[in-house]
Formats: sequence, structure tokens, C-alpha cells
Amino acid sequence: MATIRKGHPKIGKIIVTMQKSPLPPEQMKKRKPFCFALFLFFALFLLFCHSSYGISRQSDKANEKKLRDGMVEKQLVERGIKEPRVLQAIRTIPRHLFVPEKYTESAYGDFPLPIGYGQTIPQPYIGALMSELLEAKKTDVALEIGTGSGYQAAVLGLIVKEVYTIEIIPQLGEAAGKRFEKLGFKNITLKIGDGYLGWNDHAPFDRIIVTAVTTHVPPPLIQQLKNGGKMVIPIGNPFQIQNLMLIEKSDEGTITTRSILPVRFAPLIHQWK
Amino acid sequence: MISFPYPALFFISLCTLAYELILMRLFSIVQWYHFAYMVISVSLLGFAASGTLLAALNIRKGRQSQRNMFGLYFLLISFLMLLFIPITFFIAQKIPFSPFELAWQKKQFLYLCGYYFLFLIPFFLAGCFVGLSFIYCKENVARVYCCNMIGSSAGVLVAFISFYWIPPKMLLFVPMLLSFCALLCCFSREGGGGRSVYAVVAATGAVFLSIWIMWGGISLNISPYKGISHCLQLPGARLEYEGYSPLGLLQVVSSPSLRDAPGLSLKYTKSTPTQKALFMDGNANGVVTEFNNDRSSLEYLDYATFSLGYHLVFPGRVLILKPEGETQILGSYFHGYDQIKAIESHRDILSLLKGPLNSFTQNIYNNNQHIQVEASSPREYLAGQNSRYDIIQLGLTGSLGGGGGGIYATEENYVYTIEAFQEYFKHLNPDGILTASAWLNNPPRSFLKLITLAIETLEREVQTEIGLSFAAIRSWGTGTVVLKRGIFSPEDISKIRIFCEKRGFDPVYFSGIHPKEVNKYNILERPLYYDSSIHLLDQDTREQFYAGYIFNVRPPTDDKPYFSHYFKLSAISYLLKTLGRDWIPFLEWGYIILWGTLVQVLVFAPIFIFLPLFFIKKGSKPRMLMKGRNFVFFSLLGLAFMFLEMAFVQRFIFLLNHPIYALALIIFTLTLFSGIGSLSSQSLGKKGVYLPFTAIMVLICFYIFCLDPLLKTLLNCTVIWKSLSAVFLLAPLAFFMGMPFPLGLQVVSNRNSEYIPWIWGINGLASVVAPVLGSLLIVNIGFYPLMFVSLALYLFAFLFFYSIFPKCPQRDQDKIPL
Repeated sequence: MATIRKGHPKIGKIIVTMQKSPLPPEQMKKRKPFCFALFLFFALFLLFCHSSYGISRQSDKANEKKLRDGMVEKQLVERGIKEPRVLQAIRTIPRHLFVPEKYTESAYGDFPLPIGYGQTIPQPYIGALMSELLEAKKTDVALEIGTGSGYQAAVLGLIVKEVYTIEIIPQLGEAAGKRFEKLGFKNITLKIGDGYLGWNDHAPFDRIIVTAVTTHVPPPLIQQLKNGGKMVIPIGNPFQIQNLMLIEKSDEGTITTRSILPVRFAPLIHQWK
Repeated sequence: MISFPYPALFFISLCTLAYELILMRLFSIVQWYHFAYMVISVSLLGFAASGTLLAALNIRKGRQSQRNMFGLYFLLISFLMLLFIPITFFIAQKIPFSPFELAWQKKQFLYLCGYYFLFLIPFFLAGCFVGLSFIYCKENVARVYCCNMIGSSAGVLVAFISFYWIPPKMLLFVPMLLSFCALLCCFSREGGGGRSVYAVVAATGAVFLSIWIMWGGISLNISPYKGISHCLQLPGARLEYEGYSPLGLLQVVSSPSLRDAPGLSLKYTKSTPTQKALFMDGNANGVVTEFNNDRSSLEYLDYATFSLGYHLVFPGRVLILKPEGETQILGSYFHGYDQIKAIESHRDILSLLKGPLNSFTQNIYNNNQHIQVEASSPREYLAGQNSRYDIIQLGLTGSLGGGGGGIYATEENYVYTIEAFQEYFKHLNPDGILTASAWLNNPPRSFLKLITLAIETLEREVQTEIGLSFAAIRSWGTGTVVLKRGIFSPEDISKIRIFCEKRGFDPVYFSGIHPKEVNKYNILERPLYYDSSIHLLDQDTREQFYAGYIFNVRPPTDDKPYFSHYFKLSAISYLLKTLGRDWIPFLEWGYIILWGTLVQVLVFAPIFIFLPLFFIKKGSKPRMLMKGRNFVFFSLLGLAFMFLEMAFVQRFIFLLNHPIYALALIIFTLTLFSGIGSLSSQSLGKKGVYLPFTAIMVLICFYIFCLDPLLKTLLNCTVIWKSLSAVFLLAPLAFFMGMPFPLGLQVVSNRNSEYIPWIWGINGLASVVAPVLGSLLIVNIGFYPLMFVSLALYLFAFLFFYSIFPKCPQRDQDKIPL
């Protein structure tokens, strides 16, 4: 007993009580309903947890939808993105699934995010602007060079008939492939390889989007672009795309480029005029 | 009482400067130079912090026991420096700091503060050592200052030599060894707990150093966003060569996926040859193209805007300046020129082309009778000869889409100045052409500046209408200007039109151009380059254009040789309105970082200036006045010294061709001769104390009037002669510049030695603020105005000294009490 007293006063007391008066069999029988009640309580508790988890998942989903809608309104529509199919696709694709887990909460922010290996997922506005500039139709076949996280391919996947995407870094390519599978994209085909050469087996393409920085436009890509097709290439460092180049191939095969500044800078001219 | 360990102070000073330069080198490799500059500048506040701490602790050389404690302090500081130099760098490498994410990731600021804190520690310790030395030798501050300065000058030499001989991952061994030497020099029989403490500390230091050597140094975690990191991820990428020198870490990477063709025409449909990429400190620095003696494999080079010149003048002698890799050399070789001279300013790259990569290029740079490549700077090469050329071509400047983020905004570039272009122009044969190319960026800046440079050069060099000798074209990514010594003939104009048409390029300007021609293939919202050229060619509207354009596109001069600096402070509110806060830094990181550094330093400054005053005995009003005078006097001295240093570094880059050479030579000369001057200040008589100020002001006037002609005369000399001349030129000034600080400190020390740590802190603070402020001033106002500013600062310092000195109690009527 002396040893028990040395312990925690409450524990000691309980133990002392139990030792002093062990329950007789009758009383034990009386305790059965208590055990049943306890079991019932736990069962109900588990049920509650499960249902609240379900509710929380539903509310998470609702929250994500809200975030996406907010992103579309604030970052895209207000800045002039108008193409309904592009906006709808961005509203649909869960962007947070395309960023590393530690950035999930920032997935809908107005900035690019690192995805590892020195690569980034562009700012939502840049991705939307590139998709809009392509003016893609539902029947188009698109080629993407530089899959990265796979987000841009997923957006295109909802806009065009088929997307072929090439990633040079195997680890990124594999991760993107898994995401496409998980989200059920049947019209996206991914290849790990050198995008410089394009994808001759599926050429020509109606639309091409290049997300890798390059000092020149790869000649094979120009060749694989259909007459009447369009290509978009972002120019700048991975975190700040300063310029988008839109390449258009006319029906006769004449190539023209347009330089598109992703921020409004029109008054530049009449400053000095 | 211990004897003062001057050798220990020498080694600590040596170690500190070597550590600073080595840290800058390592940081430039793992991150970017300008971030390195910012982090190290802020960390140097450790010196100021040391002054504050010493004032707070009120350490005085009073009682015998306290005196003996100094030995222990010196010993422990040396030991801690030995420990913290590698440990802080090791921990810093674990911090996931990414400067590009600063704009939107708040935690990046936390990481940045982590960097500051870590790198502040070694400078703080060094500051404590020197500050304690001043306190301990308060009767002889000039000797301490001399020892500190001479140690620092030796530190520059040691760091410079280390860059040649020691691989980057082992570089930290140098300051570690130096701090260990300081530790060994701290031995004193009388002080610091005796032999046993000393033996334990020294042995632990030796063991630590040995472990570090056996460990093999620190592997450098290069940022994943640097060019080299991207390149090494390509399939089959292989690091083929790695070499180091004070110019940087040169690496060569090969991969079958590597292809570089700057601004290649979209009408080119064939393949490009295999290449290897060159990286300097992890940043892309051109490519080396495989050559198999088949000229047709180089056809792609004819589809770049820089090839225009080859279609206008053939045959002829070609001079290529700063080829950046060897794209332009091969471009002219493809066209069949038989006299090609190329000037490569980067000696390491030339050695690489002629050495390890010679088989890849079929030895074209060693044994080809048509090609001669020489290591020199364009200005240096042309200063020494009278040869004339039919084509002078400059390599591509700027970066793709401003990809560098304007990190070179504050870098001196004497190749792209009006004076340089005039020099090139003078070396053209009649009807010869000068061509230069730049990447196009958005909003338009770099190519526009090249156009203004070309136009203002022509205005100084040709008597006829400028527009008749000027042409410019652009592709989707690059633009080229052509300046003709003579006027473009109708045949030339026709050739330009055909060249552009065949390659899908747009003419920007040539005589007789029609506005419909200028925006056909590479369509801009408005033909801005054409419109700008029209305004710039007209003298009446040119100034209006410069004033009204949102970026600084005024052509650089030798006084302000900052081609990549486009930022106009007057346009900041407009830029914020149109581009938004997140965008501004990406236009010109280098310049913004300077401002950012200055702001940070000024935020901390009051802490280091005012905090120590709480620990100094409060006095009467005259005493407060004295504090103010001291503060102003020592701040003026610090600012003036560093401003002159910045101005000379800028000017001597012109002579020595590279910032690192100029920086090393100037710091070495100024610190060494300042140290000697400091020692000599002891022998100045009472009347002689004004001599240094007078001499400094006279010498500054001399440099203002004579430095430029002298540098131009020396430009063609050998490196040894240039270096010796530079030392000879600056030594007298440095000698006198070393005197005012110890003179002033001695006066203060005689009056109240409690001020010593505070003044040491002020000196530390000035040495942090002044370089940053000096860099900003020189970029904005140029070399000469900065010299005048320094002159004015010394004049004011002189007046303050005059107001302090006569009131100083003298022990000797003839000599200053030192």
C-alpha cells in the first residue's frame, strides 16, 4: 500500500479502491449494459467522425471550387481573359493537385510556384493567357513541349480534342502522368523525351505550346505546325515571363510572330509623343 | 600585462578580408552575384554591432586583471572565427532561400534574415577583435589601424591567389587557416588563463581544421534555377570541364539536347550542329559549336540578324569583338572571309577553346590560317594598333527576354559607350561597317539603347546626314544595328531588304524606308523601334524622346558606362502604376537590390549609432556637441574614403578589363598605403596635422583632370605595367587617406577612451553604407561628380577636424599625442 501512495494521488486512489473491494459476479453482470453503452458510444463516435470527414471533404471541395472561382474572377476575368472555354477549364481543373504538397494552400495565388528540378508552374494568368492566345477549337490536336506539373496540358485537355505532351525531366513526367491517370484524362498522351524534335508521329498539330525557355524556336516545331496553326512561347526567366511570343502560320505557310506583353503597358508610347 | 599581439591582429584582418571576398565568390556560384552583394553588405553590419557590444560591455583597459582578460578575449575570438567560418556557410546552404520568390513568399524574408544572421557572426567577431585592439592600444591607435589596414591588403592578395589555386569547395580553408594563425599568435604567458587554456584551445582548433580538411571541404548547393542546374538535367548531360580563376568558375556541359542559335530565323528549317554549353559561375556564357571542317554545317548562322553585315561587305578584313563563345567567329568563317580577327576578353574561355576543346572544334582556333583569336579587351586591342577593318562586329548583348532579370544593371561595360563606338568607327576602312546586336526585351529597352548609341556615335563621326549611314533590323528575338563609314548605296539598301525578306526579319530603319515595311513579320502593337529611330535621328526631338521615354535609353559614355541600366527614378510611380509592384524588380534586379541594401542598412544604422550612446557617461551640453562632431567627422571620413574607392574601381575597370582585377588592385593599394600612412601620421607635428587633408584634396583635383588621359595612355601596356602604374598612381593618395582616421581617433581617445568602441562602430557602419551609396551615386551621376562629392566630403571633414583639434589637450606642443 505504501508504494501505491507514492504514486499519483488519483491513480493510487482508484487502485486502492479496486483492491479494497473487487466486484462480485452479480455486479459484473450489471455492468454489461454499461459496456454495451460504451461500445455504442464509440460506434456512434466513429460514425460521427466518418460523416464529419465526409462533410469536411465536401466542404473542402466546396472551398476549392470557391478558390478556383475567385481566382478566375480576380486574376483572369478582371485582367481581360474572355475565352469562356479557357475560363471553364480553369474553373474545373483542381490546380492544387498539380503543385507539391507543401504549396497546396498557395496553389490559387497570383504567382508562379516551384515544382522542383528548377521548374515552375506559371502564374495562373500567364497559363490562361497562353491558352487564350492559342484560340483552340474543340477539334484541334495540340502539342505541348515541357509538361512540367501537367496543369497546362490538363487545361488544354478540356479545350481540345487531343493533347500530346513531352517532358524532358523523367521525374516530372512520371508525376504528371500519374496525375492525368488519377484525374481520368483519356485525351492526353505523355512522352518523356527531348521536346526540341517535336512529335513527328502525331504531326501536324493545330496548336503548339512551348513552356521551356529557348534561344530559338526549334525548326522541327515550325515544320510540325499545320498551316493555319498557332504556337505560343513564353520568354523570360522561370519565375517571371516577360513576353509571350505568338507564332502564326498562315494557310499559305507564311510565318509571322507577335510579341505580347503579359502586363498592360500601352501608355508607354504616348509618354514621349 | 600582456604584450599586444600585433601578428594576431594582422592575421585577423587578413582573414576577414579574404573571408569577405571568398564568401562573395562562393555566394556568386551558388546564388547570384547581386544577392551575394546584398547579403554580405548587410552582414558587414557585424562590424558596427561589435562596436555597440563593446560600448555596452564598457570594456576598458583598467585594472591589471581586466588587462589580462584581453589575452583570453583575443584567443577566444580567433577560435570562434575558426569555428564559425565553415559552420555558418554549412548551415546557410541548408536554408531554402530563393531570391526569385521574395516577391510573393513571405517566408523567404525569414530565410534571408537567417542568411544575414549567420554571415554577420564572423564579421561581428572580427569587429570585436579590432575594436578590442583599439581599446587596448588606445595610446597608439595609429599602429593598430596600420596593422589592420596592412592585414586587409594582404587579405586581398591571399584571396586573389586562392582563386587561382584552390577549388571553390575548399576555398573556406583559407580564412580558417588564417584565423588559426591568429589563434596561434594570441599566445601570451601573462594573460588569458595561462598556458593550459591556450593549449586546449589551440589543440581543439587544430583538430577542427584537420577534420575539415579530411572531410574535403563543403560541396556547393547551386540554386536549381541557375543555368547550369537546368542544363545538367538534360538527357545525357555531362559536366566535361571545370576550371577556376579569379574570373569565376568556368564549366562546360555537353548533352545531345543542347542547341543554341540566338534569335534564329523561323524560316530556317534544317538542323543545327552539336554544341557544348559554357557556364561562368553557373550562368550561361555562350556555347562552343562542333566543327568538322564542313562549312555548310554552319549555315544556320546565316539566319541570324548579326549576319547582315556579311551580306553588305565582302570580301574584307573582319574584326570580332567580345564574341561570347564563338558564334560570330564561325558566322564570318561560314561566309568565307579569309582574314578574321577575334578579340576574346575572357582569357579562361580562350584557353578552353585552344586547349581542352580544340578537338571538338577541329583545332580551328589554333591552326586555321584565316582565324586569329587573341585575349584582350576591345578597347585595349584597338588602342595599340592602327589596322583598319572592313567589318567590325560586336557580340550579342543583353539576355533573352531580359532573362537575367537586369542583374547586370550596375555592371560597368566600356565596350558599349559612345567613346568606344567612336574608337571602333575610326578603325573602319572607307565604306567599312560596324555592327552590333542585342536581344530584344519587353518593354523595349536594350535594343533601343543600342540604336541611340549608334545614332549618337554617327553624329560625332560623320559629316553627312546620319540617317544615310545608319541601318537597323530586327527578328523575333534579336536586333542588329549597322553603322557605315560612308553612306548606304541603293544596292546596299536592296541587299538589306532581300536579307530581311528571305529570313522573315523586319527592317527598323534605313535610308528611304517605307513605314509599311517595318512591322510585317514580327508584329508589334506599334512599330516602336521604327518610330523611336525617326525621333532619335532628328536632333530636335531626340532630347524630348530621352526625357519622355519611360526607361533610361540615353547612350552610355565612359563617365557612366552602364549599358544595362535602364531604370529612371522619375518614372517609378508610373512604372508602379502600369507594371505593378511585383514586376519592377524583374526589370532591373541589380539596381533595385542596391536600393534594397541601402534601405536595410539605413534601417539598422540608428541602432548602431544611438545604442552605444546609452552606455557612455552622460555629460554636459558641450559633451553632446562633441558626440555630434565625432559622429559627423568619422562618418564623413568613412563615406569619402569609400566613395573614392568606388570611383577608382569604376575607372580602373577600363584599364584592367575586369571588375575583379580592378577591385583587387584598388583595395590592395588603398589599404596597404593607408596603413603606411596611418603609421606615418605619428610623426606629424602639430602644424602638420592639416597636411593629409590638404594633400588629399589636391590629389583628388589632380585625378579629376589627369586620370583619364593617363589611363588611355596606359591602356596598351602589359598587365604588369598597368598594375604597377595603378599602384604608383594611387599610392600617394592612399598614403594620405590613411592619416585622418587615426589622427581623429587619437584625439578622441586622449579625451575620452569610452568613445573608441562607438567610433569603431561608426567606422564599420560607414564602410557598409558608403559602398552601397557610392554604387548608386556613380550609376546615376557618374565618375567625375562622385570625385567632386568626395572632395567636398574631405573638405567638410577637414573643417570638423579643425573645430575639434585645437581644443584637444596636448601632451606635447610639437607632436600629436600618439
